[in-house]
Amino acid sequence: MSLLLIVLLGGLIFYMIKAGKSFVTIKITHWLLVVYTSVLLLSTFAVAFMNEETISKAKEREKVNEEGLSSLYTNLSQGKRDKAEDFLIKEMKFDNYQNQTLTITASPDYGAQVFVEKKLENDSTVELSIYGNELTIDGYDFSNVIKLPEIELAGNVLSMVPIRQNIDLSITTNSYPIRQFTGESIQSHYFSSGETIIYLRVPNELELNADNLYLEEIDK
Amino acid sequence: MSLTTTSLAETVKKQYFYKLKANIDSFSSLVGIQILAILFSLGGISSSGMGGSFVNVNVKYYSSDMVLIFTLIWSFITAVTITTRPYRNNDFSFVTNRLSSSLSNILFLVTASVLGSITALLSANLLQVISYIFLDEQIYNIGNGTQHMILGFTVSFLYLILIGACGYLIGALIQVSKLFIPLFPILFIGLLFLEGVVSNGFIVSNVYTFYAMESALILFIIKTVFTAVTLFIAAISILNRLEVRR
Repeated sequence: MSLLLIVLLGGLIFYMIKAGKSFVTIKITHWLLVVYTSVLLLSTFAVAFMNEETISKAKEREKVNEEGLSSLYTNLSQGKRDKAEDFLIKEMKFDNYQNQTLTITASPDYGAQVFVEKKLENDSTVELSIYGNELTIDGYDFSNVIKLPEIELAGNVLSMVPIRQNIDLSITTNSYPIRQFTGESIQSHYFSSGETIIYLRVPNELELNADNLYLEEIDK
Repeated sequence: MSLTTTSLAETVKKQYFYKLKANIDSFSSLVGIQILAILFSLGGISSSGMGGSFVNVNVKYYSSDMVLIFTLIWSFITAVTITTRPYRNNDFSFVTNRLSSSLSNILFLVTASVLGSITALLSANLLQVISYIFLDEQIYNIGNGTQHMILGFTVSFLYLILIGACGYLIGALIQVSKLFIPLFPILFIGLLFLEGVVSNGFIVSNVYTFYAMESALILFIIKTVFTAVTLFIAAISILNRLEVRR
């Protein structure tokens, strides 16, 4: 991809100079101006081209609805999952669960909130949904760059292991003449992270135990 | 006795096109200065981060701010330069007076500002491409959009023409007396020192607030256009007097 862009840029500039030379006698200054302007225009084109696979990821979910985020806890605590769909990150399903008990464990410093909804039927299926905004910067959702906790069901133990990670991001913002009127700031930034809520739907008669976690049962 | 009469508009037009050709090298310096600014901007213009129990995030911000600042400096220097004697003497190749010379200079500065503002804003894209290709960084873009680009071009142009007008006036004053050459730097540095001493800000911070902190676009346009026109008129008056003296 990178090589393709370099070749494309170089080829187009070479062609433009060659084409221009046959019409006028080009001074070194003209050369410089033509090359520089061409590079700027091609970069503008290339950025739009790059946008599809790199830049747009940050905007996929557009600006996070702050109001919706604050009501996420309330909605999930009342079992209103339909109102929390915007913040659904991942869903998992463990079929054919035959044990009578389920122990949910996590690292001692993993502070995720876990809601448990007991289904009306005993369908031998444990359903797990992860909600929240893993990472928001200046109101934009960057959750896709964060690795979700590893969730594994072994025997009758459901373990949640968060992954330690260092993330380096590069963000292009508007220049000052634009920021002056849009009110954006290059100095103060708003970060929001770690508001993860786990929602479990378990068979009605399944007995639950928690290790390093507090389970909040939903009374629907 | 000459039988040919030339209108002011015709003379200004001829001088303007002549100056575009004669001063083409100032555009090379624009390219040079912007490339330098792009290189300075490659490390990002600011950074921030957050840390939690499991996730640490470092963010590097890119923008064309540095390029714009360098372009403003270029605009100032170009405006001062075109008032100097060698440049003014070039005008005598035409049937001319000081007014037509100044008007063609202003038109040249307007053209330079248009080019400067467009290239300064587009340089943000070049910055992204360089980072993507050579620094192997995945860059997220939370700016731009056509409306923002138009706003950016307009405001950058107004800043450039404002600084160009300041440079043109200062250049004109320097042509009146060479004493202004050391006076302006002393005055500027002195004012910066005063800024540090006076608690509520002095001239520099008030001027900065007046233009750069204005959040209403219409007011900003009125302020910059009115100031630039006033500065240009003052410079034209000074340069007209210069002809009487010499």
